[in-house]
Amino acid sequence: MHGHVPIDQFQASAVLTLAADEGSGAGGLRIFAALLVLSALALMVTSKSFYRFQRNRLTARYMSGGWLAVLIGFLLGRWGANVVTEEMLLEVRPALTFGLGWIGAIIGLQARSALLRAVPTAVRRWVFVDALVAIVLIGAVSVALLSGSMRQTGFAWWIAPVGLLITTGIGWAAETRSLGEERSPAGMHLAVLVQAGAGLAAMVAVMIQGLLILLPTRADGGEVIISFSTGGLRLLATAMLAAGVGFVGRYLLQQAGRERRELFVVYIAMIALISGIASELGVSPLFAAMLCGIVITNLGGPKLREFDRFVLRAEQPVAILFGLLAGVFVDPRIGLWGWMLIIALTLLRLLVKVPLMRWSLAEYQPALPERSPLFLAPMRQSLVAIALGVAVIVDEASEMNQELLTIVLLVGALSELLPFLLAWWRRDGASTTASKHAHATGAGA
Amino acid sequence: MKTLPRLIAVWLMLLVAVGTLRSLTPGYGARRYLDAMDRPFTAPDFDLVATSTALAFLLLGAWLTGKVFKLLLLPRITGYLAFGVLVGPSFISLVAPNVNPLLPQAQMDHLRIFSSLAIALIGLTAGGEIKIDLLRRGIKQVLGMMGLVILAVLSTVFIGLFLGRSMLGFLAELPRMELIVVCLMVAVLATSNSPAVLVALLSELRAKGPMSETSLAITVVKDLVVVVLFTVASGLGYSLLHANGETASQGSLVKDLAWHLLGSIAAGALLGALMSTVLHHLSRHMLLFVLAMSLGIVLVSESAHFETLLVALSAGFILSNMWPDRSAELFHSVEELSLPVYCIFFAIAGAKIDLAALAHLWPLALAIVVMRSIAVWGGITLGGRLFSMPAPARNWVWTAFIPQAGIALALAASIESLFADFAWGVSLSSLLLATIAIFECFGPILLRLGLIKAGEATG
Repeated sequence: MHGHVPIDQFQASAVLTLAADEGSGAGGLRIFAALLVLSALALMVTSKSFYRFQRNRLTARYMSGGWLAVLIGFLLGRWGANVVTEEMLLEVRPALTFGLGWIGAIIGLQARSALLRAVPTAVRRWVFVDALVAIVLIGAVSVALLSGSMRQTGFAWWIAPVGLLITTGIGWAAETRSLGEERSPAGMHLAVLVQAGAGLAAMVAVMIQGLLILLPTRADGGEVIISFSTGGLRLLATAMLAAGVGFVGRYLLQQAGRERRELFVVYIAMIALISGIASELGVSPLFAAMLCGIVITNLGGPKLREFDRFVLRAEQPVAILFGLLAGVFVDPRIGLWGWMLIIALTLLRLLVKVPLMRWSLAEYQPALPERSPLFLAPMRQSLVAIALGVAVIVDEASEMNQELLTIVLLVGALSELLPFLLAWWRRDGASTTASKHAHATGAGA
Repeated sequence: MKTLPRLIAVWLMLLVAVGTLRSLTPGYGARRYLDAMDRPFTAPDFDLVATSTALAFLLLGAWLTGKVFKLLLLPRITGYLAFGVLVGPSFISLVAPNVNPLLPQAQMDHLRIFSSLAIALIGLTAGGEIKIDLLRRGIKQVLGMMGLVILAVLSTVFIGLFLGRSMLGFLAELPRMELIVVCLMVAVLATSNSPAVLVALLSELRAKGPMSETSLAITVVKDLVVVVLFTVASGLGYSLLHANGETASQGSLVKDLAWHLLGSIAAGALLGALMSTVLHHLSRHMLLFVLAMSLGIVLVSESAHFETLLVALSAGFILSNMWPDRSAELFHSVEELSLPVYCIFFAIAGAKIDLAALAHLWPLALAIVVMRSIAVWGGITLGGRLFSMPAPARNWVWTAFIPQAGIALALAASIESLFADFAWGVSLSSLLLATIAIFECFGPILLRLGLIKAGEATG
């Protein structure tokens, strides 16, 4: 309750705002300012005027991958202008949980059974092997490089950090236009395969992270332990919750009728409910919302299709917002182990992902353009990696998780650059060879 | 016919689900942990983690209750308020003091941001609804009816309380000067009504007609006048009771008031112009824009000590009257966002209703309710007749001025703060809260009836 106001401090303007100011203060205002800056920037970056910067292929790639947003977020954050800090963002943690739920729903809604059945076996095999390779290779490299810096040796402590590096290593960016895709039917077909694989891999990554996070739990003393019973219960509760929200959501959408604002209430409530309850239970909101999205998309019905469209309509601003958030959470004080991880994980993407794609799609090879830049697509990190990194911080806002997010982001940024350099080098090499050939032919003539 | 039982079944399922969840996950405070590299960090407290569920719970629960109330021919916003009352801390502490509420105070505090955004959106909607042509045509009617209703309420409540003091609880024991101040403050607070309830009900019932237009215009202008009245009265009351030579400087009071009111209007106009410029370049993600602008309105208002509702009203008014084409899509998006906003805003308002104060002070509160209702009816009906308002609107327009909510609550909190060093400060504040609670509950029901009877809504 407010105290007595001395007469010399009596201000008319303060009278009405006294009640409104309750519990806000300067901290509250700064949070409002931070949210305003983030949403204004998200609007700016997704505006049409901003698209002119995408004419250049490299800038297009960095913008479509969300890296520009990450950079802006970093410049706004503690290490830049200090306008938006991680403390402010953690104060609005429920909003972040809601955002993660939204992303989870976007991923899950792609899992319509008819659509999944249409994905060629080769692509499914590609995603499966990619995930397997990530688990084995990235897992091994991460354990080896993290062991120097980890003070806790129990297996349970390793699950979350290694799990994050593995799951962010699974899959690739779905966006292919900025790579300069082929206009030929074969090139377009390859682009579709890349996109289908990216969608599937995103589901696999969220699923693995969701399942991994179920197991470790904090004991009363604060130490991390593995509890299969808690994990099992959490999994059961999540599955029931996803199914329950899906089925009840269908009924509620029918009740909402045709009015958009009624539908809007149900949409928001469904996402907030699933992500909120998941985070209370210690389950990844991304995972729970993805399961719910899978249930909804497979229940069918015109109302649920509208839910699909509604959720997907906000895909771009949500992605940009998460890019900005990730940028704010970046902690550049990563030690030697961090840089070694960045180099190792980037090299792994470079050396493993491209041959794996060629091997997996071998049966399509004759029909595909041999030197298509689309073959470099799997090197680019998936946008979902940003959400996975932010999710870990929303769960536990530790310095270590911030450093891990920084590593994931830097691997992603480098992975964007490398295919561009390779494509440029290839083109340069090809044009040099062609000119030499032309020169030689001319000399011969 | 099966809809009602099904809705109630889903509603009960929601309550049971959240109740079970709350019993499974007992609350905890913020904790310090070590990460795998042995560096400490703070894990958030349970209430912050649970706020996302609380948001969904309030939204869905209020929406479902509103649907049930609609089937029972009651206003939906009464349903939102009722749901808030049911799950809020006040109700449970009355009926089962040892049980934790489904929506604890700490989670309500975390949801404060949504209340602030709701006020901005309600203001934008109300401002957008007022057309300059209507004001030009009916300015005499608006000012005349407003003057009459304020005068009627002020005089009736003041005189009624003063004369009936011996029968009215703690008022009987007050010295004369303090009694005058208390009567004055209650009377001034009684002049306020709720723009939020009015806007929400007009939107819910899609009401159109002279009663809707006039009541909205009067409410908006009255909001300004009430702020002036309250500031003057509280300054005067404060000076009267602190008679040891301390008086609030009249010059500073006027300057402050001017800054507060004119500043709010000017800031709103500037924000409206800014919004119009951005709208010119914006072709998509309108909902995000509305959200950003609402944040901007709240930020500007709170940091400069302006009134959020006034700033938003002014911005909405400028936008809809100066750039009607450019802002059409914006108001469409505001309309889209309105229902979730109302659900959360009124459910939180309901959860804040102090039932203990109501249970304790209901006879005195009821006396004020009766006096204010009669005064509102008399003042506005007389105004309607004098300023040639068409029937049947003039017979029912008084119902628009009965509901009280947000502004009245803010004024009550200010009164408590200003007179905190008097023994009756808390009693007065509790009395005001009890009165507002009654108006909050039956005001929307009466307004819905009024709009239907005036032929401006079908219900």
